[in-house]
Amino acid sequence: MNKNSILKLLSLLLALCTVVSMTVTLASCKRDGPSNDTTVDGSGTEPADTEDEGVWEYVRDPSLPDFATMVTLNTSDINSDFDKTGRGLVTVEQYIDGDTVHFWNNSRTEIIKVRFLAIDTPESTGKVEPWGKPASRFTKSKLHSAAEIVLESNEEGEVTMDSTGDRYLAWVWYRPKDGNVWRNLNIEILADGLAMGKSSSSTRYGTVALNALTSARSEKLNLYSGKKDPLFYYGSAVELSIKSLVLNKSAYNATKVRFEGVVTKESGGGIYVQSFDEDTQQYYGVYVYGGYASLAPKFLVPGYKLLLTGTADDNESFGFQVSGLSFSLIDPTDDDTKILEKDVKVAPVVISADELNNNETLENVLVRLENITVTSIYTTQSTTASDGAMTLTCRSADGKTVTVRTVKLTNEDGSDVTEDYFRGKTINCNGIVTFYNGNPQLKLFTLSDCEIISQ
Amino acid sequence: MKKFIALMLLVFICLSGFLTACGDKEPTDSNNQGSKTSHSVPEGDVTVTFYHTMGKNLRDVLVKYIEKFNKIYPNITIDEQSIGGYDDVRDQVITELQAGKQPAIAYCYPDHVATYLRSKKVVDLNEYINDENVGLTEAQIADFIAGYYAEGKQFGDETKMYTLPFSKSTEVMYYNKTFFDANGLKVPDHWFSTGASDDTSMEYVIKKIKEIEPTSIPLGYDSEANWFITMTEQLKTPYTQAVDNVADRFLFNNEQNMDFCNKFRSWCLNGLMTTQAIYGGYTSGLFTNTSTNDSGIVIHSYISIGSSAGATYQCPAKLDNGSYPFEVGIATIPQADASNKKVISQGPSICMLKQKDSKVNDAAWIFIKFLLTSPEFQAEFSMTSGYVPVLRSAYELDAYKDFFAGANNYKDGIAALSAKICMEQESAYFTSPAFVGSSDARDEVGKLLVSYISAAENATEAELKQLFTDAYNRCITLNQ
Repeated sequence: MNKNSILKLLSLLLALCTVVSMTVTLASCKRDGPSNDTTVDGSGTEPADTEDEGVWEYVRDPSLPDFATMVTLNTSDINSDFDKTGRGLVTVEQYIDGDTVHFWNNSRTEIIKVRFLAIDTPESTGKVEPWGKPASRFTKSKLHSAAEIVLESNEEGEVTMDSTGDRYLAWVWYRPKDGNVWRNLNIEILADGLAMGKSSSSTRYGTVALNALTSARSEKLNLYSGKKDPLFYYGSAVELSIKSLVLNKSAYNATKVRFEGVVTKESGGGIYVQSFDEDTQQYYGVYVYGGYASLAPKFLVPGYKLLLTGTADDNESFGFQVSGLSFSLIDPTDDDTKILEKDVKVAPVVISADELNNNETLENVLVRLENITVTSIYTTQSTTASDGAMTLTCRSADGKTVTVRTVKLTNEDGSDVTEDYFRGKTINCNGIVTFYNGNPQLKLFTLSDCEIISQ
Repeated sequence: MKKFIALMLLVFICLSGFLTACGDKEPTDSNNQGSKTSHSVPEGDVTVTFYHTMGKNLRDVLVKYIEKFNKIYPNITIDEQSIGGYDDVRDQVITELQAGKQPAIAYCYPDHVATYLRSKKVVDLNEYINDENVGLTEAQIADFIAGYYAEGKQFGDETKMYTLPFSKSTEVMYYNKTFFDANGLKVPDHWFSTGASDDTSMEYVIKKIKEIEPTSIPLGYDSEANWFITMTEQLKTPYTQAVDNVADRFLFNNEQNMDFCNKFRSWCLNGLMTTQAIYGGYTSGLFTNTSTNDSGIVIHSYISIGSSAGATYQCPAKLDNGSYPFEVGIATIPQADASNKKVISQGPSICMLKQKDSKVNDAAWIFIKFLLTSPEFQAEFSMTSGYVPVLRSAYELDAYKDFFAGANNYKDGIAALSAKICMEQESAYFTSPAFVGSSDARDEVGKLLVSYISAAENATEAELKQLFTDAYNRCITLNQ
């Protein structure tokens, strides 16, 4: 170790010993935030928040070092677009979780999906892990209270994507409304014990990031406290029916639940499951996310009757769903997914246009609309998998308007189905009742689920 | 910055060793008296800390087996902690070694252990493996897949065993079977063409794919470092060696290695291949892509070489209409020499770090033994993670046989198919020597391959050679 290195090391240790006062108070951030706050996206409204269950209060000990200000933002060129220059002002477009947020770039021409560098917060969407919700709230509260936000790449002037190729990797800086000092949120999250490291030491602020993480561990903060996350449900699974679950979404939000149901459709890495309620003589359905578990495809098969245990979660990214399933082929536990029966036939429930439009309890249920005539068609054009999907506006025999949304459909020969196939036709259609922007629609998954009854 | 951190962490370790030598003595290590000394199951309450990188799904499996363990050993508490990625585990362990607060068990890669060894706090597992009370039986040792088990002895002294394999993976070649079948293409089994009609060479196949679909990038290779290192193994060209003299450790700067880089460079310049760094994400994204670009074109690869543990990511999602965009085939990666087949061995091992109270080490061993000799744990961990078991007996379990029986070319069977391919190439596994600086070599050859194959078309031979020299020099600088 040479003299310079020793001096650097001593400087660092001295910096660590410098006590910087800081107080962060967080409870349920939506409720605590001033109601007339103007958000950094300038809209005066914040993206919808469904995370208002439970209370987590965290006050950082002011005697602890303020790692978030031990690094400095170069503000000379922040009036540019991050996606072009590697540094730039942004505004929040959508909060996802503790380490992922979508922003508008400075010129508001692109949405920048950002995965925070150097940190890995527990999951709070898709599947929920202990300390995932507090981390998510922390990130949201800091950015919500910011006067300005800047993204910065790890390498000067060079943006990089995460391994999915879909999200930018970035340092997220914010300037609080009541301060002039730019704070590094990634490091702050590490320092407050709300994330694990993610190759932290190999980053441009590696030394401080590693020290922040080490401090959080030694101070036993949050994730490292050895205590339970107050926002996580640790109890046994609540055994219930799908009906009870979906009619009491807020009551079961963030709760481990267990229920039986028959898989009707696969979609988006998950399944639609439904069960029949004798009292109301009606089916109730729910969407269950299977994730990338390698055993999931063996269990989540249409026609299977399953006993499912997972966490009910209502979040702004995915809506209400059940996730966090587990699977085992060896000595399964009570919580592992179980196949109760195979090849169960579920006939779609024939409903009227009125029922589709007015009975919200049919959400996620397999239904059939008969004798509807296509009056107009919109085809999605995008660079995503939804390219070629269609929205069919239809009129029922009794003159009511209903919406049918298709996935990208293909003919038996593999060719794409176009608008001509449906234009002006009267059809019968099987599909799942879903909601888009609050409006009900029947989602059509295959061409074989649609029968043309008159040209 | 990275260099400084690495230096600082090493200084911590050296300082720690120095303090130990100066009087902050470790407790007398009664274990270190030969291979047959007696350890025992500790009495009284003991807590064993275990650092790993598992996410929720795998942690659920781990916790399930900890509960089983605690039914036998209720006095041993396993404090399992997910630290982040492998590098984060390494950094945390190094930091804690300095403070004498290191975990008893840690997930590790060989490079990490080579660094930890400087602290003299890595337990030689032979002390336990050969112990007459709590050691492994010959049958238990024989149950480990030999190549994986041998990795624990790769630290310069074969009498020492510093790691045991936890779960393993390798690289396999995924290909778009639908496209291959439709176009009469053969699956490549070697890299370079021996003639114009050598239709099982990668070189031939990717050129053919480009002819069929000019907008495609036929081949994606995820890990540049793996590619470079694997080529040196397949071609038997120098890469690294574990010797004392720093200047002699890094051998990759040579003409033979430039030769294969030149071939891959020509592929890259002709749009025949890409890598993770060049593409900007896992190349499975390119392989499974169904989205159009701004010009309305769907750009695909048709071959993707990546981790066997990532098989489910190489399989396109089922379409909402219930069909798959294409069928995925899996094969072993191409070879340079059929008589010297080599594929890289990856995946975590575990090491044990000395504790102030030797009772904790004894308890840690009891847990390691429980976990790593359990075919049920190995099988379940494998089926959940995509990694393959390190025990032969795991493959004999009915549940694992059923899993294998479900192998197919689609999402619900691709992980099993990948595991099968891994088993088939068991005899070809290799690992590189681990020493302080071996991770720098790995990093540098990965970056070198990227810069070499993507250098400007008019780059001179001297400029390209300089890339090799620069990479070598960085390795030397980082380790002096």
